[in-house]
Amino acid sequence: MSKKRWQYLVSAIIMTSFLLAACGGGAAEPVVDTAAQDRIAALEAELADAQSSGGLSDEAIAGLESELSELNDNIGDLQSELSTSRSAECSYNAYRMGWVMDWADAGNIVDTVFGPNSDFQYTFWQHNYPELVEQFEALTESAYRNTDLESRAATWQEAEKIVVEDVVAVIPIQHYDRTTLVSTDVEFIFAPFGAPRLAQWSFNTGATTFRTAVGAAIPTLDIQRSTDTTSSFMIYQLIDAPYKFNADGTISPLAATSFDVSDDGTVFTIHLREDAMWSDGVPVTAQHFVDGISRLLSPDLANDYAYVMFDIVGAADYNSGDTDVLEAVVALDDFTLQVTLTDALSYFDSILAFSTFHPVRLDVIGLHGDAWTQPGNFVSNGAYVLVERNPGSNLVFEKNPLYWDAANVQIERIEVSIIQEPATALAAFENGELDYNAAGMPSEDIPRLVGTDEFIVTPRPGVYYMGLNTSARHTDNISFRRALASAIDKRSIIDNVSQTPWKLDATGIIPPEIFGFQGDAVGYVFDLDAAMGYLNEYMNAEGIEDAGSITIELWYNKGGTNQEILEAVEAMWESNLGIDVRTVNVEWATYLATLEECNVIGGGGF
Amino acid sequence: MFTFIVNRLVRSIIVIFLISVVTFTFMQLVPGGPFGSDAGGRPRAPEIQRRLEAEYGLDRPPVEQYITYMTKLVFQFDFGPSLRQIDFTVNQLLFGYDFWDDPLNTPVMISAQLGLLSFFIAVGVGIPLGVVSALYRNKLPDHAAMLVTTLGISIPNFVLGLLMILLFSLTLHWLPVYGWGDSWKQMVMPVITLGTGGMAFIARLTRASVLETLGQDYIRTARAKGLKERFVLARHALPNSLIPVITVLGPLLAAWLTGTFFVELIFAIPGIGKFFITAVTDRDYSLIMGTILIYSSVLVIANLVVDILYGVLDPRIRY
Repeated sequence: MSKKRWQYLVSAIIMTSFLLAACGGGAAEPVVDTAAQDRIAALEAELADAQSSGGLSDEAIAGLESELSELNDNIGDLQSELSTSRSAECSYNAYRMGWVMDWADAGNIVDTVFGPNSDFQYTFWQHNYPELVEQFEALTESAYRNTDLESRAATWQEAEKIVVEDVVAVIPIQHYDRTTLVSTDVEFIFAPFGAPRLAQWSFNTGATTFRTAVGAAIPTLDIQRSTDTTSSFMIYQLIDAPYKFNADGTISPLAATSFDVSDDGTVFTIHLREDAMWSDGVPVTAQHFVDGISRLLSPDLANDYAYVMFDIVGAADYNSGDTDVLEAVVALDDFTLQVTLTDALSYFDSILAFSTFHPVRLDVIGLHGDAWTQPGNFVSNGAYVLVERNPGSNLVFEKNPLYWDAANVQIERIEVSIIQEPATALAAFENGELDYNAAGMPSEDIPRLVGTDEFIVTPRPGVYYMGLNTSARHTDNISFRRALASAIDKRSIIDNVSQTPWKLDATGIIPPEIFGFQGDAVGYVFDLDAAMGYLNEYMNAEGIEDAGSITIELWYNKGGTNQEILEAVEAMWESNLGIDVRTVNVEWATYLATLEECNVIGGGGF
Repeated sequence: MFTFIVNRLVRSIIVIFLISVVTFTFMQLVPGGPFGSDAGGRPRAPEIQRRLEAEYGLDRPPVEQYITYMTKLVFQFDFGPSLRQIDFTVNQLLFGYDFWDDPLNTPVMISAQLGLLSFFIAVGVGIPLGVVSALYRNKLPDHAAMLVTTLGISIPNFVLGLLMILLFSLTLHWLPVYGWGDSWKQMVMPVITLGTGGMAFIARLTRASVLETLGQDYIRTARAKGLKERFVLARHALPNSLIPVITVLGPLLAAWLTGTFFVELIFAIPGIGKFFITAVTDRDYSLIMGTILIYSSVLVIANLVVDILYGVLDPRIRY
C-alpha cells in the first residue's frame, strides 16, 4: 500500500489539473474586459469635467485623451480577436432546422423564426440586406396591426417572399405533419394545434380504459412551464383552457362560454362557465386564469412560451422584471376575465385555446411547493385527475367526477406508458397492448403501415428547412444561393429517400394549414436549367472556372431522418451543380450551442 | 483481513471522488448546455437560457458548482434537481418518490432485479455449460455448447430482444412486449436478452480455464494418488479454474445491477440504465453525476467482493 501512495498522489494531481483546465477552458477565450470599459467611462467623465471647468492643464487633458484612445484600441483588438477566434467555427454555408408553429398566424413562422430580430435563425440576412430588412419590418408592422385575416395574410406572403425568394435565406424542404397509429376501435379528433383531448375521444366497442404510449419522458406537469408535446399531451387531459381547438383549426368554448372583443379590437372580455369546479371542489374563477397568465409571464419562471403573450399590454416588461404589476389581465368578477392588447390582433382568439391561457391554483402551489405536480397534490379543472405517476415509467388518469361535462366523457381511465424505443411502441401497438401509439414508429416500418386503417396522418403546421449563411464564402452571393435552392429535388427526397409520399414538399415557409399558404407561388422549385443558369452567373461574376473548386459546408444534427435527407441534399448539390459539399453532423446540444454562438458574433460581422 | 477491507474502502472513496472530479470536468468541457433547446426540441432564446442557468446556479464558477454539489451529496445524500425533467429531483428519478415505501418498484431496484436475475441465468447456465464442454472436449456436447455460445456472443442483445418480441409477442402472443413488475411474463424476455451474452462469455471462459487447470501438475498428482475423478474435479480442478471467471463476474454484475441501456430501452423497463445515455444527450448534469456515481460505487464494491472471494478460493492468496 505505502509503495503505491505516490500513484495516488500523481493521479490526484492529474485530476486536479483536469479540473483546472476545465475551469480555465471557459476563460481561455479573449474576453472584453469590463474593467477597461469602466475605466474608459471614468476617463471620459473626468475629461468632460475637466474641459467644462477648465481646471486641468492642456497637457493633462492630452494625456487623458491618449490614455482613452489607447484603451479604446485595446477593446477593439480584443473584440476582433474574439470574433475571429469564434468565426473559424462558424464555417457553415447551410444548416438544417425545423419549426412547429404555436398559433395559427403566418407571423408565427415568418417573423418569429425568420424576422430580423429572431434568435432562431442563423443566416445573418438581417446584417447583409438592410434595405430588405426595412421593407420586411414595414410589412410585419402593418401585418401585426391588421385585423383583416385576408389582407393580413397577403402582407405575410410578401414578407415570406422577401426571406425565401428575394434573399434566399432559407430553403424549405418539407412541411411537417404527425403520423400516429390509432386502433380502429377508437373514434378520435386531432386538431392542428394543441394536444389531443381524450375527453372527446371514445371507443366504438364500449370499452372505457384507454391505453396509450408516449415516446419521451414527461419532464413536467407544471401547467405553465411545459413546452414539449408529451408534457402538453398530459396537461391537456387535466386542464381546460377557455377554448378548445377543433379538427378544422377553429375554436369552440370549453372553460368559457363566449368572448367579446372591443370595437378597436384590443380588449378581449371572456365569459367563463359558472358551473365549473376544480377536482377538489373549489369553483373555477376568473382569478385562476389571471394567476395562470401572470405565473406564465413571471420573470422567475423563464418560460419559453411567455413570448406568446407579449402582445398583452405590459407583458414583456413584466416578464423581464421591469415592472411587477400586470394590469392588462384582470378578473372583472368571478366569471369574467379581461385581457387588453397593445394592438388589435386578428389571431388572438386562437390563443384562447392555447396552453398559455391555462388557469392555475396558486394556493395549491403554495401548499405543496415543488411537489404540487405529484399525484394526490395536483388539482385539475379538466376532464381527468392524475392518480399515478412513476417517473420514466407511466401515468394513470381517471375521470374527474366533478367535471362539468363528465356525462359526455366516455373514457373513464387513461393509462399512459413511456416507451422510448419506436420499434417497441409499434410492437406493443400491433400486439394489442395500446389503443393509441403516440410514441412514434421506426421509419423503416412506415411503408408497410401506410394505407392501413390504423395509420393516421394529422396536421402539424410547421416546416423542415435549411438556412443559408449569407455571410459565408460562396453563400454570400445571391445567385449562388438561388442555384442551391433550385438544385434540390424535394419530391424525390420525400418519395424515395424518406419514403413518406403523403408529405408535402415546401418552397415557402407558411404551412398549408395556415392562412397565407401559397404553394410554389413563392420560392424556388426544382429546376436544373435555372440552377445551372444561376451557378454560371455566380461563377462568371467571381471569375471561377471550375465548379468543382467551390466547396461548401452543410451542417445538421444527428437523429431522426436528418442523415438520409441531408445526404440526399448533398448528393443532389454535388451531382446537379458539380460543386463539392462537406457535411458536418454533430449531436443536438452541441449543434445548437455552436449555431447560437455564431449568432452572437454574427452581430459584429465576420 | 479486516485491515485489508478498511484499506480498500478508503481507497474506494478516493477513487469515487476522483471519478466525480473527472465526470464533472468532462461535463463542463462538452459543448452545449441543458437549456440550449426547450423540451420540445426548439432552440431557446439566449435570454431565457441565461435565466435558467442562473436559477440552477450554472452561472457560478465551475469549482463553486462542484463544491456546492458535492457538499449536498455527501452531507444530505441529495443529488440535486434534474435539469431537464424539472418536476423531479435526481433522487426521485433514481430512487422513486419514497424508496422505503415500495423499494422493489423504484428505478434502481428495477434495474437491480433485471441485472440480478440475468446474472443468475448467466452464471447458472454459463459455468456448467463451460465445465461440460471442457470435460467433453471436441466431442458432441462441446461442439453443441460452443455453437450456442458463439451465437450468444455474436448476436447483439438488441437484435436478440427484437427477435424475441417478434416471436413470443407478435407471432405466438405468449408474452407482453414491454413493462416490468406487473407480471412474471414481462421478465422473461428481458432477462434472457440480457443474460445470453454474459452466459456465453462465462461459458467460454470457464471452458478455457477448466482445460488449463486440468493440465496442471497438481491435477496429475491428485489423479496419481488414486483420487476418484469426481473428487479431482470437485476439489481441485473446479475451484481453481473459477478464479479467472470470478474476476470478470464482479464488473459484469456491477454493470448489470446498475441497468443496461439497450435492454431497458427495448422492453421499456423503467430502470436507470437509459439515463446513462439520455442524461448525457440532454446535458442533465446532476443526473449524469448521479448515475455515474452510483455505477462507480457499485463497481468498486463488486470488485472488493471479488478480491475477498479470491482469498476464499485460492489458498495462495492471503490478506
